[in-house]
Amino acid sequence: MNTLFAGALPLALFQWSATLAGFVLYLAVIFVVGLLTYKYNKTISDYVLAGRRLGIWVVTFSERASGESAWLLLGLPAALYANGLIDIWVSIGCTTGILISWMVVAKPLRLQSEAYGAITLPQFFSNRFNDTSHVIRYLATVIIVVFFTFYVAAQFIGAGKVLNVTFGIQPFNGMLLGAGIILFYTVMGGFMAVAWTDFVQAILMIGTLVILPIALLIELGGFEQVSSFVASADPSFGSLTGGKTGIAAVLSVTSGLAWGLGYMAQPHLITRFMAIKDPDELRKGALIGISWAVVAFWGAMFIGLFGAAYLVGQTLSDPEQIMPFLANRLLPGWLAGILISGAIAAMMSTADSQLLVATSAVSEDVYHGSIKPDASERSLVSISRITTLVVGVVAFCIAWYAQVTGKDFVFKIVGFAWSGLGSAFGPALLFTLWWKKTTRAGVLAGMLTGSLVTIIWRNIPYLKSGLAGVGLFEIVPAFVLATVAVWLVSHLTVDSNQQSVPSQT
Amino acid sequence: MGFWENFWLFTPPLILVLVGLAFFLKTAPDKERR
Repeated sequence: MNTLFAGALPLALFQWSATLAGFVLYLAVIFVVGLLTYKYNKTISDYVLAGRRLGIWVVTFSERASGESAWLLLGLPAALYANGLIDIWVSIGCTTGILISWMVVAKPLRLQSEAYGAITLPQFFSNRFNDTSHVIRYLATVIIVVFFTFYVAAQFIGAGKVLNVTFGIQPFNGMLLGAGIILFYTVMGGFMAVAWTDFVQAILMIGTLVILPIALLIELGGFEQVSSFVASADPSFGSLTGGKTGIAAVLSVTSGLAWGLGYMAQPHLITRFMAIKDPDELRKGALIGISWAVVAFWGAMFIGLFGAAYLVGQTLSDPEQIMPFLANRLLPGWLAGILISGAIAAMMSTADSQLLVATSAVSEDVYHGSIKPDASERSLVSISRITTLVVGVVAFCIAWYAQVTGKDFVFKIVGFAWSGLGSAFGPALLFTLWWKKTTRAGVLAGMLTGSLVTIIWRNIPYLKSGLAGVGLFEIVPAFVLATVAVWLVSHLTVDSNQQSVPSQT
Repeated sequence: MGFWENFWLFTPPLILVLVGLAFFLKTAPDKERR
């Protein structure tokens, strides 16, 4: 086997131009979608929800591509490569969470959101509980705008990173390029552009996550090589608990599985459920979505695992470079170009959906909901386009700052937003959809508890790192306490609610 | 040998797809009930 760079260098020039051609082709397709979908945006419902007229394949692939960010193609392979089998729990947790979300949230949310005339999540809560004080709407909007701005920033950092690894573009320029393209087609085509680009991007992502592990397996000569590598590696690599025992092992496994809790209520994902034309089709989405997810997650893990066996005795300076590095190393340039575009696609498909959710929170929930309720549809679409641009620029500045100060850990920033959003909205939404006794006060309590516990837990070193030296992922206490809060406060306020309705009439 | 020894790695996704399939088959669309 060649040493790390000896084999790659003679092909570097050809590969560079071929991969670049693949990437430019991908960008051209995305650009055209932005132009074509421009004219479909006549109302704000078109811009933020594609007017609820999408088919199941577009909805499912859009939900999946938006749900999995730069982390799936760069972070998860890196985690397996660097830490070993302990990270299988994250995959089990995430895929289970995806399936539960499709089974439990999708259809009731689609039906109830239409019944209450809601096109955004804050609007759904607000209309459902007849919240004339607008407290739920404002709180949900603040949570969405704050967390999503950070979340989009994380995607931009990912764009800078992958363009740096693949084309040698400076991270700042890569971030600028990624952000510029995303902003262009999102501003132009709104949800329609985002959903259709997501559809293309989901196909690219799954292509990368299937082809690369197979290429690696062929290069290694079979599964036996992987087995013998794991057997010869550090015992903690092949251990399902990372070599930890007792309470530390329990905390690690729980934290991994807990990632799945976040899927239940990520606003940028569940908005997809609301956009489908025929609600009955959503049962098909559960099957399509889970199939895509397990192939994608296991593919990503195999890239890390097989990559570790392939690169035995050598180390990458940055484990997150393993996917692009292996694609360039093992495959013809044109194919590597397409597969690496899959990683860029993963970032774009997440960032565009998040941008749009933050946009809808400002333009529909704040501007249309409170500042100018009688605004024309045309002006609302214009306001939405400007909002998308502003949120994108702010997120870019955060990404730039993180890059300059060296705080470029995508996984950590995403973890913060994931837990905050998942625990603020998860229990509140599940109770609202499935428990008729849920009250407005209960939902408010759940939102506050979920987001505050996430922020507090993360900022107290004792809670974050724990006694055993292993911290518990903040989504666990935040989700559990938010669940208790919704249930308890709903119970306490249910009587006063029932009394207040007749007295008002 | 190597593959079947490590087959347990594939059991979680298999279970999930089967659950997804069962959900798809068991939830009849509202239209058919009408």
